[in-house]
Amino acid sequence: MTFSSNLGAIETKRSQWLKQISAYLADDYELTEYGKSKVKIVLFEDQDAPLCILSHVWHEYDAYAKAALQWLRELGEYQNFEVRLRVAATVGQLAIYEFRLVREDVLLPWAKSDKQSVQKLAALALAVVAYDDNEDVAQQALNILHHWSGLNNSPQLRWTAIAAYGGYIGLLFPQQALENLKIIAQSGDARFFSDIAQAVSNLFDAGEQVEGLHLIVLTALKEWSEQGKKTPIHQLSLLAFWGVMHESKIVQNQIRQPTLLWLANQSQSAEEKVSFLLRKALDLELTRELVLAEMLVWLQLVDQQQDFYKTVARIIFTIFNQGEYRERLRIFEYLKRWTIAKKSNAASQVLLLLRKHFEL
Amino acid sequence: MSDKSNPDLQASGTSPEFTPPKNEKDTISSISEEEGLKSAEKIFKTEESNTDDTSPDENREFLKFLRYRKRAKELGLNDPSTTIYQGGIHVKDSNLHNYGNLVGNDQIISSDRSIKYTEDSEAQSSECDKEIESVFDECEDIAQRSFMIALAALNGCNYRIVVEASQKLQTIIQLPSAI
Repeated sequence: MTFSSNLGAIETKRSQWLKQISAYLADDYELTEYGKSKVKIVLFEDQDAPLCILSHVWHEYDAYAKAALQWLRELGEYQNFEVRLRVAATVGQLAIYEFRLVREDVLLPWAKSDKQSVQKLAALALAVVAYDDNEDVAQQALNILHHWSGLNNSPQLRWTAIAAYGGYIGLLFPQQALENLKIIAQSGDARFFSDIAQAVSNLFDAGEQVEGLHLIVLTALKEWSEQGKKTPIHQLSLLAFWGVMHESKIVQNQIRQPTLLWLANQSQSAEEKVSFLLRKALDLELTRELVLAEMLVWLQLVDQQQDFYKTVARIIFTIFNQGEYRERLRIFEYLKRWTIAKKSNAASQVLLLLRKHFEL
Repeated sequence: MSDKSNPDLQASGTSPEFTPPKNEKDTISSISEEEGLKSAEKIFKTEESNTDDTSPDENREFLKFLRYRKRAKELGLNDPSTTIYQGGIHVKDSNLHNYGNLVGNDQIISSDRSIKYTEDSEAQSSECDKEIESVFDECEDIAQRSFMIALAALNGCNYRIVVEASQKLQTIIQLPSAI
């Protein structure tokens, strides 16, 4: 196949030379500040063609391959998200071919960037590597993230690791992700606390689609909370627990309900973890008011949906039963306050239960 | 053969579209433990969300991936091997339509595809290898080759963006150090 040459080429129709490279245009639109705008998108006729070309160029044309790395690195700054997503995917694919070179030329500069949007591309590209079928290839991505997690002197690399663990890689290797998030949190660098909490929250929310993930996250939070009360990891774990208590909802049988309640209703193991973490969060000044507010939300939900009564009552009963005197007193006082203020009928039901059982 | 085979593809020095995302959250700066915990608290309060400008798109893609992953499981595709690839997340070695492109385009997942699909796809793939590779090999025009590489990376993007990106690549390739 030859392209038209020189003078004639300028006259070549776009459709014609696109056909020569087995590509075509299709109608699409993009949303702009001035409304829906018609655009032409360009695609290869064969969906395998992109990978074929990348592989061919990488393995046969060194100068093009090297230039492509610089080009891709610079494209990471591009504003359009669709472009950046594809660029990250391409970089990931090239890293599968030759990790070391791509790491030096693109992954590290991206991961060390002072722009989070660029760092996220490094995380995304590493996810492509981590999801590769070849275990040795995939392991490289996990190893580098593990290494970055332990670097005290490179906040950018650590931040990139957090972004990776709170995304696709966290889905595939949740335990490893949570273990490394813990390492970062234990470093005590407060700059990462919100990002770690966000990553944990992302993984927990993904539990709606990924079986077993809810429990893995709760187990990790429980373990984190068992560290010394004054440690940042203890406080962060309980903040993250409150976060999922506050934010995470699940729709079951057309009822939108707190995910933690739904989980506790499903399994005893989950209920034990929720009760444990709730008790700890009630005992920490930082989170006390926050989780009390959520407990009231749960009780008010019970007012609407009696199905949840047993679960909520069992959790409060467990916390009360396991608690020391001041913890018991706190729960008792709040249930009494909510009952008197008529904020929840369920609160009075649970209060009655406690009074009866513990002869208060 | 000259680089003037298509005027759209000629390398240009400026590239106004290549600007950083707006409202970029900048470098990580030191804060106290109390401030760190406070900022962690804030992320769960919607109105005080600290997510940067790029998050909605990324979250949408992530959620789309999760939904498709769940659907694949419901269809009995046991823990499909997944990877992110041109334009999104793919499920490999599965019987998803379009070889399982999960993100980037809205696609249908169906359970009625059999192993035959995979075999066909592999056969077509090897044929495609030779065909598209020879197209690239026989093309001696840097502009056209740059365009093919740009399209390989940005398949499915706005034509103008691909052209602009290919011009940028062409410029880099033509730098003396690249040869």
